[in-house]
Order: sequence, then C-alpha cells, then structure tokens
Amino acid sequence: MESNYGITVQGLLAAAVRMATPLLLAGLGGLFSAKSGIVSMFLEGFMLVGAFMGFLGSVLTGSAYLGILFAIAGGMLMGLIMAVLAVSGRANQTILGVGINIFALGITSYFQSVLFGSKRPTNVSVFYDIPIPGLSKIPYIGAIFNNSLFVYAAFLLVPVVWYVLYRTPAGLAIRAVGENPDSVATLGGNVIKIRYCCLLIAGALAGLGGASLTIGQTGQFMENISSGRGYIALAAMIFGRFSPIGVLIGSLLFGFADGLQLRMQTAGTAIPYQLLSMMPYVVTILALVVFVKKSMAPAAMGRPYTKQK
Amino acid sequence: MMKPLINKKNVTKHSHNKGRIQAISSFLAILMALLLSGLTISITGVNPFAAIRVLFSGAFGSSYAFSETLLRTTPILIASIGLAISFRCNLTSVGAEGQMIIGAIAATFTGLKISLASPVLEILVCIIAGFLGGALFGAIPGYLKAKLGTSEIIVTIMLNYIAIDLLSYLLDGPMREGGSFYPQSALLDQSVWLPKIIAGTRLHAGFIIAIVFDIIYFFLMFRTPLGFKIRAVGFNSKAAEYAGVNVGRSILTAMMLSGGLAGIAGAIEIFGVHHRLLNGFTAGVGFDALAVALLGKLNPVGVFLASLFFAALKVGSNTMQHVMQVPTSIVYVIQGLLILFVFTDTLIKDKLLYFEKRLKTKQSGE
Amino acid sequence: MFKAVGELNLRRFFIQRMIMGLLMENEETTSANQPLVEMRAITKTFQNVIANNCVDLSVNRGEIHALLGENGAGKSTLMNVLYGLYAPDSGEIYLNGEKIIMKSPADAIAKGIGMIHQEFMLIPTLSVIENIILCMKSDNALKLDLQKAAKRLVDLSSRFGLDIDPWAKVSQLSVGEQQRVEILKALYRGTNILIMDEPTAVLTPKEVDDLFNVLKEIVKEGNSVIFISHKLGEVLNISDRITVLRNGKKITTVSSKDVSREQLAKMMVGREVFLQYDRPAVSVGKLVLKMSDVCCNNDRGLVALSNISLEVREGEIVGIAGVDGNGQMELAEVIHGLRKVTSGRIEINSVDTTNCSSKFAIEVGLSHIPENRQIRGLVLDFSVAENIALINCEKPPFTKNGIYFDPQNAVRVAEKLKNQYEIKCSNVNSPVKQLSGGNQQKVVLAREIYRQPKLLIAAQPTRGLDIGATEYVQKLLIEKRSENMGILLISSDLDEILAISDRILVIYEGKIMGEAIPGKTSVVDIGLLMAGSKVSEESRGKE
Repeated sequence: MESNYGITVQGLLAAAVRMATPLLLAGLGGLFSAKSGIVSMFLEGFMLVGAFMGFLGSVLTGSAYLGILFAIAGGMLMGLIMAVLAVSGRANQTILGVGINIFALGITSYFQSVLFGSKRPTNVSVFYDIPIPGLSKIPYIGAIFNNSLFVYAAFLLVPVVWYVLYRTPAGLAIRAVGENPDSVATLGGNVIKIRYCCLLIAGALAGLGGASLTIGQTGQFMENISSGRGYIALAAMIFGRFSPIGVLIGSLLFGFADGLQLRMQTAGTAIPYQLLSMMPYVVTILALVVFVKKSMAPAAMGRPYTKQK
Repeated sequence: MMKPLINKKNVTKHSHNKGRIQAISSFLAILMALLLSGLTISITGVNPFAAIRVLFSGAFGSSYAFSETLLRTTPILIASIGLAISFRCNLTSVGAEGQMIIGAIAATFTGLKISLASPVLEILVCIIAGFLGGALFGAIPGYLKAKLGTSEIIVTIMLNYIAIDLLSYLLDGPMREGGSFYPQSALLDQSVWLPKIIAGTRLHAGFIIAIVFDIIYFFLMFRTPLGFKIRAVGFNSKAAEYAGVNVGRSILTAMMLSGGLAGIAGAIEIFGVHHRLLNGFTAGVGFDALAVALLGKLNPVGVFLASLFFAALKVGSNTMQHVMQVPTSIVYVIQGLLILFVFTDTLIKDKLLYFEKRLKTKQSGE
Repeated sequence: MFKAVGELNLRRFFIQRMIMGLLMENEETTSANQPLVEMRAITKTFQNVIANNCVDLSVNRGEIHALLGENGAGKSTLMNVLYGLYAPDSGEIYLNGEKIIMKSPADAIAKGIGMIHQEFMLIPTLSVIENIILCMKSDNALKLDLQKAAKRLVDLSSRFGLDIDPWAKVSQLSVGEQQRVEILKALYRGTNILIMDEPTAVLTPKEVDDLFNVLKEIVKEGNSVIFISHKLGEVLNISDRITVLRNGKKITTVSSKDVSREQLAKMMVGREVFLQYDRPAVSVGKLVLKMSDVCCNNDRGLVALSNISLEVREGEIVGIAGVDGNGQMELAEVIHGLRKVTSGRIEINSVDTTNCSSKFAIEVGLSHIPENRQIRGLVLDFSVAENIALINCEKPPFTKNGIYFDPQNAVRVAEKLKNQYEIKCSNVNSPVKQLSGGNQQKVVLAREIYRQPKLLIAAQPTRGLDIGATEYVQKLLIEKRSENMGILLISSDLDEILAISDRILVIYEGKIMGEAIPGKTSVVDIGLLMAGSKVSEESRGKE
C-alpha cells in the first residue's frame, strides 16, 4: 500500500492510477453494452454486486482469486437480468438501469446486514500489491508499477478491448448493431444474441471493477461502497467519446481528482473535508459541460430493437 | 414510401384500455416485487408471510401507525410530483434528494433569520424560500440539458452527493447550533413549526399541502398551456419545436418546478417533523419518489397511492426490523424490483395481443 | 425434272428450317419453363391488414422483373418474405424448382437472394469495406482481414462498372455512391437474385441511367433482378416483365413490350387516373416570401444552402424540384426558424424573419407541412385533438384567458376539421398514431390550413400516400392557391411538381440552378438542372 504522506507528484500519480482502476474496469464494461446500443446506466449496480460478491467469495473460500470468480458471476447474472428486461422486454433502458442500481444497493446492503452485520470478517484474503521488478524502481512513476493485479489487469485490458472492438469480426458486428441494428438483421446477424453477449461482458467487467474496491483494497464491504463510481464511469465513457482510450483518459482524470482530494484530506488543509470530498463530483460535471459538445454515442443507443415476423 | 416494418412498435389497439393496462401492470409489478422480496427474506430464514404481516401492521395496525404512514407519505408525495413533472418532459431526474436538501437549507436559513408578525406568513415565506432553493438547484441540470444536452441523470446524481456534502459542511460550521456537540442547526422558533392536524400524532399540515399540490399537478399538466407544452416536449421535442414551443425553456421550467417541489418537500420535513436541520433527514425520500413516480405512472391518483404504499413500506419496515430483525434495506430491494417490473406494459400488451390472436384462430377453426 | 427436284428440295429445306426453328423455341421455353424463383400463393397479414393476398410471382433467369404497384400495394412485403425477413402465413417459395423455407435473411443470403431496401442499411460511421463484409462468415474469428476483402471488392466493382473506394467512410458518400455500395454488398455475397426496393427514388436522371446500365450488366451474367417501383416510365424502360399488385393482390403479369403506360396505370390503380388538374388563372398578388442570398449549414456543419434567392407571391404555387438531399429540408427549416442562416435575409409577409424563432414565423403567417410528418409534424402519442391544438395552444380558441386550457375547445375544433377534411378516425380523442399515413397527413393539413396562413410550405406533401390521398392533397393545394395563398411546394416527385406548380425552381447542392415553366420547359432540361448541369440559353425560362 501507499506509504506516502503529503502531496507529491509521485503520490498523486500512484493514487490516480489506483483510483482510476474501478472506473476503468466498469467503463470498459459499459463500453461493450454502449457500443451495441444499450444505455449503460446500470454500472453502479453492477459494481456494487461485484464488490459484494467478490468480498463474499473471498470470505467463503478464503481465496481472493475465487472471489474474483464470484464477482464475475455476480456481474454476469446482473447483466443477464438487464438483458432480459432491456433487450427482450424492450423497456426504457435508462430507467431500468436506475432500477437495477437501487435494487443492487438494496440487495447488497441486505445481505451485508444479514450475513455480516453482527460480526465483520477479518483477515479477508485480498490482492496485495505486486511490484514489477525494475519498473517499480523508476523515480516519480515507479509507484504505478507497484500495484495489485486489478490495476495491471485494468490497464492491460484497454488495448485488448480496443482490438476486440476494432479488429475482429465480432467487434465489427457489435459496433454495427449499436449504429443500426436493422442493418445487421437484414444481413442475417442476430441482434438479440449480440446484445445479450455484450451485457454479459459488461456485467463481468463492471463486477470486476466493483471487486477491486473490496478484495482489491481493504478487504471490507460497506453499504454503498461504490458511492456513485458507476455513474462516474459512465461519465468517463461519455467524456471519452465511447472509445477505449477515451475511457482510459476519463478514468484517469476522475481518479486523479479523487486521489487529490483524499491526499488533501490526510495532508490536513484548512479546507473542510466535505468540500474536498465534493471534488470528484464537481469535476465530473465540469468535464461533461466543458468537453462534451456533441454526443458521439452510437446512433441506435437507447432504442429498443423490435424484430418483426 | 414503405419502410421495412422491422422496427414498428406494437400499437395500443384500444385507447380506453391503456389506463387499465397501466393499472394492471403496476399491480403486477407490486406483486412480483413483493414475491421476490419475500423470497429474499425467506432465504435468510425468516418467515416471509409473518414478515409481511408485521410490515402491514406496522404501517396500518393502529391509528398512530396510520398517522405515521401519512406522515411519511407527505414528503414522498411532494417530491414524486416534482419528479413526475420532469418525467413528463422526458427528463430522467434523479436529483430529488439533493434538491430536498438545498430547499431545506434555504427554508431553515430563512426561518432562523426572519421574524414576521404573522406565523402563517412566516411559514409561507420559508416554504417559498425552500421552493426557490430547490428550483435553483434544479435549474443547473435543466440549463445544462437545455443548452448543451448534458445528461441530466449524471448531473443530478453528482449534485446529490454535492448537496449531502454541503449540508454536512454547513452543519459542522456555519449553521451549527451555537455550543452544541451535534452537527445540527439551531431549533426553529415554535411559531414556524407546521401545526399538527391530528392531536397525539406527529401528522402535520404538510400532509394537506401535499394533497393540494397533487391537485395542482393535475391542473398544471392537463389544464394549462404550460403543462401541455411540457408534455408535448416530453413526447416529441422536434414536433414541439416545429409547433413554436420554446423547447429549452420548457425543459428548464420543468426542471425548476421539479426541483422546487423537492425543495418544498425538504422544507416541510424540517418545519413539520424535525424543526431543525440535520444530516440525513431525507432518509432516502428522493429515491422513494423516483420509484413512486414510475409506479404511479405519473398519474395524480397513481402517484398518491404509490406514495402511500411506499410510506407504508418505510414505516412497516422499521417495525419489521425491530420485531423480526429484517434489515430495512429490504425496502430498497422492493423499490428496485418495482422499477424493474413496472415497465411490463409492453410485455403485457404483447401477451394480451398474442392470446387474442390465438383465441381468434382457435375460434375460426383454422 | 431437275427444276422440280430443286423446288422440292428448297421447300423441304425451308420446312426443315421451320421445324428446327420451332424445336429451338421449345428448347428455350423448356429451360425458361423452370423459373429461377417462384412464389406461390403467398399470404401475409399484419394485425388486421392483409398485406399479401394469395400472390404468385415467378422470375426467370437473366430477367429484370418489375413489381409495380402504388404505395401500400404489398410489394415490399412480398419481397421481405422472399428475403426471409417475414415468414408468410401461407404459401411456398421455390428456388430452381426446389422448395425452400427461410427463417431469416441469413438463409436467403445463403441461397443467393439479396435485397436492397429503400432506406439504405449502411452504417455511416464505418468504411465501405467494413459495411460490405459485415456479418459475413469469417475464416479467422480473431482477425478482420480488411486488405484481402478490399482487393476482392475492387475486382468485383470493376467487373460491373461500379467504381468505389473501399476505404471511404460511408457518411461521406453521395446517395448514388451509397447505392453502389449496397449493390456491391449483395454481389460480394454471391447474390444471383437481386431485389431492389424503389431504387430510383433518390437518384438524378443520369444516375438512374447509370443504374440501369449496371443492372443490364448484372443480368447478362445470368443473374436476375426484381425491381420494385411505382414509376411507370422506368418500369417500362428497364424491365422485361412486369407484375402488377393492387391492394395486396396480384393483378397480372405482362411483358413490358406488350403493354402501354395507360394500361399499366389502370391496372395499378383500378380506375382511370389522370393526376392532371385544371389550374384556373389566378392573378398573382403581393410578396409573401422573399429570400435574398440565404446561406446555411446542415447538421454536420457543411454548406446546405448557397445564396438562395427566391420569391413567392399570393396566389401562386412555386415548386422546388430536386432530388432529395440537395438542401430541401434545410430550406424549409430556415424559413420556419428551425435553423439559423449563416448569411442572407428572409422576409415573410414583408416582415424580417431572418433567424427568428419558430413561434415568430408562425405568428407572421407561416404554415408548414413538414417533410417528415411523424417526427416533425405530429406528436404521435397525443390525440388528434391535441395535435390540432399543438400550434398556438396558449391562444384562443384553445386557451380562452391565457391560463386555462380546456381540452374541450380542442375537441370542438378537431371535430369540425374532421368532417371538413374527411379524416378517418374512430374519434378525435384517439391517439394519432393509430391513423393511416394519409389520415395523419390530413390532420397536419387541417391544422396548418385552419390558421389561414399567407404562406404555406408544403414539403413532400404526398410522400407515402396512396393515389386517393395524393389526389386529395394536390387538389387542396390548388384550391388554396385560388384563395390567394402563396405556396412553396418542395417535392422530389417531379410529376407532382409539373402537375401543380406555376413556376419551378430547381435546387441542386443547395443552389437554385434555374427556373422552369411547366409545359414550356422540357422535362429533359429540368432533369439536367436537377443533376447539376447548366441548360442551353434557349430553353431557360425567366431569370
């Protein structure tokens, strides 16, 4: 873990990278569903479920690695629910997303109280920082290479997601579905199947993002541990113009803001801590206002697809 | 020019069935939500039927309980009317929590500072202050959406967190009651407390105010040009623009009305229940209001019934927690499930049409 | 005797030749007896509309077969069945004599059937080559080999004379080029039965010629083309045989050589159709619209209108002719205040309305029948009465004292208009989305004309309407012209423009190319203007 006090460039960079990780994972997941034309409002809920399931899995099995499987499974289950309601049920995707988020908050808080309310598990298996030999010694940015597997995985996923979306036939089909599902249907593609798959992937990645908050850090689950990060990830995606690189930049930006305010709190400034903790949220609004002029969202996003037979 | 019929939506065949279908789908949603919640409760070893019984007796079992339910209905109803207005304009605002807080801050600040001869006038001024506070807070996402098309969902959610932090800061410092350990404001003078309407209970005049607003909502939406324009923009902003409606202004107005009503809800909670500003006084009303507006299908009667239902859930769940140790977070589970199930309109319509077709082919003996 | 034998031989020779000739004909008919595609007794119903009623269709190899009928006759439905998009309620499809059942377009494509819809199914943000290989079975699921595909595409396109750059983004292509991509998309997948739905609707006359040449190349190789259209002239020009549909039923199949335009029209519509109107002489009055050097941009920031100057006066119909997409939509929008101009001046009724609000334009006396009635003109979820009240809802008769909006007022007005315009709906409180296209257009017309505007913009007013509704609308416009209304008619249907306009202005790439007078200027010259060419001085009209 970070052992830097005070505000240093090194510390800020390291914090930015670490705080960006859950946003990045959730954002990349949201990218899959968004590219296929589904509004990714559900990231907050998926993250919460992933956070809880990762925690639960680690407690039950004693292994953080198995906890990851739990997190992915939980996220994919949520993805399936969203798919049934949004793709097959053709309901309003935005409101469904909000509903999923409230439901996830309720169900995770509920089981948290029921299972762990009286006795908090201690010594939960987590992912420890793994320094990369050589790289972690570089001055200033070395701390970046001394992070958990979650962080490394999140950043390595960026080129992977880019390749899948832009250099494979499946990725081409996904992007086409998000722009004009009718085109894909007239070419014999299965729009429903493609959207279901994208939602499952979104669930897996966002669940992973949530798990990074529990078994990737403190090893504790608290009610509403995501605290709006799913929405910030969504903002990062919009801000990043629905591209993997953009999500990366957006996540780093918001992660930086989050890291900065935390450091300032611990460093002890005259600014009241509440005004500091507002910062990531204010930055998010400003980023959306200043940088997002025209929506680069996939053309068919949000419109339920009806197959006529 | 015939377009391929691939994306034509199924059309309601009979317009007079639409209201019925909406009511049916809301009831089905409640049923499904309660069923699944009951399942969740039973997983943890608690008898779901007993739990539900405790829930309802906690909400309606005695006249005091009932008064508590009506008490809880008040802020939920007012806030959900506000949300209904924004939804009718096709704005998905999730900002009721934050707007309630800002409204409460403005109203309490006013109440602590001014002193007028007539208490009724004082209360009125404070409520107006609450309205203005919430309206200005709602103007932020409204303006951003109207001018830049910024997602009102993200902005309102961010503003919620900002408002919570702001309240905490104010109660820690500038607005803190002199000499107190607790983060709370000074107590409001008794003259501005909202009067009780049933002796021996906590039920205050705010409940009447809420009902009045519900009626005003109906008139605003269906009997004024402003409401007509808001609905037109909500259904088809391009057609509204073509028809000469100032779409940006309608969006801003809808968001300000929405925020203002939430602000009033916040003000009433302070002036009727707590009589001073506290952290967490909203108790999740903002999210309740969201589910209520959707469950009530934005309809004045529906929203009232749904508010009542949710208030009952809130009050009853407290009892349920005391008596049966069922965590109150079950309310969020029910809320979330309701929102997920409430849009079963299209599914029900499809199934009805499907069965109708099957029946017809069976009858014609094909 | 030698002469007699010679004669006998000659006669035998001729008889032999005759018999051989007959035999050869029989051979041709035997192979032609096996049509490439046969659809038998296809019936397809949607809710309670019978779109196809026991329709037969057979298409031969190497043939261009036209499917003719007016809007709503069932042509697109029939082809969507052939393409596997719809499952027929009953009936069978045979390919080369073998019965086939298709569950989706994937099956149809596998069998060599390709369809190009009226609205292109291309992804604008992707490149040409990406659009072409979309959803094709790939050898390597992990790699998208665009280079190899592009090479194959270039070979294919040169074979048929369809030049295209594989790496261009589709959004940057012209409509004609996009159509080429659609055709290549089908050919690339090995289509030998190409279905085209109203392909010439968006083309200039020259592009239509180019298309027909391409189609002739395609059928030379033994492929077949099914060509859906409602345009008699083209159908007679390009097709070998024509099948006429009306109201979901097949009327007949004829060879294009054996039938005349009038006969086809009568079969298509079931009655004599003239679509020619008496235009009484009307003396033209004062200016209702004056545009001076108006320029504006489209949504993508490119120039849409370039120094447009035009005038409309009371009592005249000025027709704006041109192929869709040359600035017509933007023209209507700038006049209505729905789009800002970058320079120039607009005056409605002598009032400066440059960059005014939509509301102001309406108050100064503008009415507008929008080109896309379902998106711009109507709120589909509102009732008929509410749509009538949509404009000026805060004024009398809808709101009497500025605050109270009584829905009954709207209902009263709507009832009156329903009778006057013969709008078919169960009652004025039913949602307008339940009405047919023609009746929806009548609601828009009623609302717009009810205000007694001085200037009426009618943009594509008969698009998607059947013959009866089309006639109604056109007659109504002429009637209003006699009542001294100034009408700006914007239409991509040249026949319509010729039928009812007093003057014609041709628009191309946002510029007015020239003026024409119906009857005086030749259609060929108008076609040239529409395609962007200049016309010789002689045949140019005034100005």
